[in-house]
Amino acid sequence: MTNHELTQPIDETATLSVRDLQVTFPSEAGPVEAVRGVSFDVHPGEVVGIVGESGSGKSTVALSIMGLLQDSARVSGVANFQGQNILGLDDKSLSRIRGKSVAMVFQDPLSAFTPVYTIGAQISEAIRIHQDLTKDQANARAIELLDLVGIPQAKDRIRSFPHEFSGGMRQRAMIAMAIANDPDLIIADEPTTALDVTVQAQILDVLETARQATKAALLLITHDLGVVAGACDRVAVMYAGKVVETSDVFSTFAHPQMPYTIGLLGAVPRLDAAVGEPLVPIEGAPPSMVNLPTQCQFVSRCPVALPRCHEEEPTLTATTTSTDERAHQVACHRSDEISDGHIDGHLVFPLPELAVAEHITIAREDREVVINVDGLVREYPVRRGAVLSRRVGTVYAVDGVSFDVRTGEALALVGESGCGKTSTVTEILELRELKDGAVTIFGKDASKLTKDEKQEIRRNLQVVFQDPQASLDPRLPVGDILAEPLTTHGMPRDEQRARVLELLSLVGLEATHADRYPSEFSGGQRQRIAIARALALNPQLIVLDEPVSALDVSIQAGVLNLLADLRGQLGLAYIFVAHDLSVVRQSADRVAVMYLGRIVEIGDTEQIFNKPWHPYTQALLSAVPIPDPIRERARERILLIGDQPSPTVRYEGCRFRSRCFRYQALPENQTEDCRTQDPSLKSPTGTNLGYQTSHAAACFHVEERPVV
Amino acid sequence: MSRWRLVWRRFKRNKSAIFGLVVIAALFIAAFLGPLVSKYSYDYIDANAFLKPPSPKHWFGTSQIGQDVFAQTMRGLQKSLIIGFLVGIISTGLAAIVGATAGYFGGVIERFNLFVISLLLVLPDFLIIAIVSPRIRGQSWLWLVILISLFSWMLTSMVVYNLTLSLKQREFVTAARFMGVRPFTVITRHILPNMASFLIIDTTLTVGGAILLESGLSYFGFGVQPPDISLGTLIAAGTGSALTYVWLFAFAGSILTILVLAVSLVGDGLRDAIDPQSEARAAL
Repeated sequence: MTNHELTQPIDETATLSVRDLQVTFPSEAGPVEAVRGVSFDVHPGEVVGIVGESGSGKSTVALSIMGLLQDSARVSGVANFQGQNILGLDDKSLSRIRGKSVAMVFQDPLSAFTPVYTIGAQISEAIRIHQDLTKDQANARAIELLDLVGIPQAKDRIRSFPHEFSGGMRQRAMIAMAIANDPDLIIADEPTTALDVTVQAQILDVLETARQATKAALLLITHDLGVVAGACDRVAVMYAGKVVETSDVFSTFAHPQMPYTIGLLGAVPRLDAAVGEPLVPIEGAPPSMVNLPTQCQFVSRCPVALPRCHEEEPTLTATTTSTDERAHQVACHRSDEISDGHIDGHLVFPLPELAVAEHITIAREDREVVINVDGLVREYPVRRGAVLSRRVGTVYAVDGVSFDVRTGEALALVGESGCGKTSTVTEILELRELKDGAVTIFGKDASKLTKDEKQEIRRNLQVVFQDPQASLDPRLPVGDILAEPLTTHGMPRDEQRARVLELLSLVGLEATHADRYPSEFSGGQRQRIAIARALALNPQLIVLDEPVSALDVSIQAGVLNLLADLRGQLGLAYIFVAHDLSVVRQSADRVAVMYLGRIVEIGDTEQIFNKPWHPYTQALLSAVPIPDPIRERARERILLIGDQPSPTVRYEGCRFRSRCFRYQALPENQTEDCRTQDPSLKSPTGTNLGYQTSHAAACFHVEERPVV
Repeated sequence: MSRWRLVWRRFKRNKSAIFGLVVIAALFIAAFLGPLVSKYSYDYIDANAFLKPPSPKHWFGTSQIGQDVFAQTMRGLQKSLIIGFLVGIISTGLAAIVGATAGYFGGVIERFNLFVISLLLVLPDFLIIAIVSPRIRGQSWLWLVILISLFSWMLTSMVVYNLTLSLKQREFVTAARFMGVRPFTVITRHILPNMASFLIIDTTLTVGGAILLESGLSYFGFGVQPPDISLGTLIAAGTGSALTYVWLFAFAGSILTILVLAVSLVGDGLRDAIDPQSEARAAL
């Protein structure tokens, strides 16, 4: 490490002061410049968020501060922590700081714990390395910590092994371990990304509790603008290895001045937006970090780029409106011309116009039913034993699901992982004999189909999977992938090429792309290919299984807009599976919320979002963060207790009871129904039309409560 | 076919693969045109030249009884090439069909196929061929190809079976199934091409292995029967004089080495061309 001139002096009052951090990884194609000069300060007790999409270098920043990068990485710059530059310290001196003064919370708590030791042993170990305590004292402290992070019966759970904890519990234990030695700085690298949204809310809450208990500063690294809005004091937006905008959290969200930030904020689907409103797509993809030319790295995706932007990379400078040096810094040549998302009186990112289908105007009851699912059941056996496997139980994955979808309609199936949403659509797509219930698709009973009828239905029923990397055969060029459904359903070979080109242009790709392989495309483009394949045969119904959850926000917006536009153009019906409620608001007409194999609430999107009835829907909605710090902080958050219970058990009464806040609040004499009866979907006004009405919930104590 | 045009374009970029292909083509041409150019037939006996080293008259020298080694080597190369490639293709094809159907369909087909594989695995191939070969003596050498193939596909098939099990879970296979693509089309279009690199490497190894097995059999008199010659019989016959009369052994031996090397270079090149990921991996 050389002591070169710093662009800005180190801030001695800060807990952590990072200056000109650069990280380069070697690769065959040339050095990968993952982080290219990042500077920021974290003051005592402050929460600083670094937000960026995958590949922006945000995690590399965290790992380089902790000295956890691979040996081949070249790191330069200064990270001044309590008067000492900790960059490039040897492992031994770093170990004295790591875990004691600086603690880290990782994304995946399963791989962050050693599977062969108990949670308690691992926390005690962390304590005893840095503090002079006896085994018993350390153990007592570990119990205290687990209690603090909200693990019930901490005394008993301390003897559990990591695999016996759920994801949320492990992340809590991870936080307990991080605060074990009363650190001054906690670095949390995507601490909630692997978790469900209701658990994410719990963990963010725990993180806040932990921070207050230790008075530590927090460096929060995330891709989720909503999390930043709710939790951070300051924010730094990263793009292509650089901070492009930084300020206190309110100015960046209220007055973003870098086009990337403006685009990103417009691309995030929001719970509080109007139904059907288009998102801002940021065209293109981030640059590969090898041999970057001297220019603004966002230039290829920026709608307001000038010739100057191609010649000179802007540096992070304070905006003219900001009062002091630290207030609001932007790396953009045109930042002074931009205000409130406008430049010269125009929107920086113009909103696309999406097609709206004509038949939307026809009343729902008068439209044809495309698919009707009634009491669908899917069970998986649980087997034990390698040689003589015997059935030891049943996973009730789908346990009586009913819904219908009509022409041109998009129904969203929403729920947390393990609620049975994907099992439901898989069961429909299989077109096989059902254990229980009935699926009527295009007017035919799906369990009694001849081979020809099945083939006819397959033509009209298509699917788009979550991960386009996995759903496209890597060994076929795109032209062949798109021609496959055509060949299968008997289109003559000479007509296929024309249709393939037509499909490519429909999803916004070029004719020359037909000869390339899927690996040559970016994630968003691959998903477009998968959508084009689903459209090839002009289907009536497309099942979208988490179509955007593998994509970055800026890319996701383009795909969501495309899906909405195609539905308008072609009059398609969608079954849209998602775990993210905000994604669904923009794209669905109706929403069905699933919990533990059952739909607990179904209804028109507007109804579900504005007047949710079921306590689970309310909790789910309240857990989704809104990327607006003022609104987000003013919201009341409903925190659910614990995790989703096991689907291998039959529950008596309402299955949501164990986590239900309304049940807990009810006086004893009114809980009879909840304990003994299984609620069915109905409208509280009395008419029991079940799932076909405009709004129905499976709850005995329906109570409207707006939570967005 | 646009796909194979792309594969060919990628293949052409690979210099060593092209070299391998040129060598194989040259060996094929030499094996089938060489005898036409040569003045001597492989069974002609030149009474004036016993054990003569290579000369303009006898390019590869002559054997103990005055046969032209060049003519013999080319004749042997013909047989070895045909036997090797046929066995490679037949046994890998058989392995692919049996393994993939077992993995894809499951149930009764799976149990039956796996039983056949296990059964053939425990039978000693060399002994069985040795016992059966007297019965096919005097008949077409194609029987030998079938016999060798029959005993060289099982291990490949087990690997194919396991690869199929994991490929079956992949989303693009599910996507094809939900599209209504017929099972055999799914196997031939999505499952087998995705193990192409394995199948190609395996074919290459089998070609080499088959030539070795054939030469081993021929050495003991169970393989290619006189008056037919293969590289195997030539090497076997020349081993004894490998140090004294080098040309009896060296030409057949080095041609065998060059042949197997060339086949594996082509195999590597094909794998890179068919599987764009392996190329990307090499570039990382």
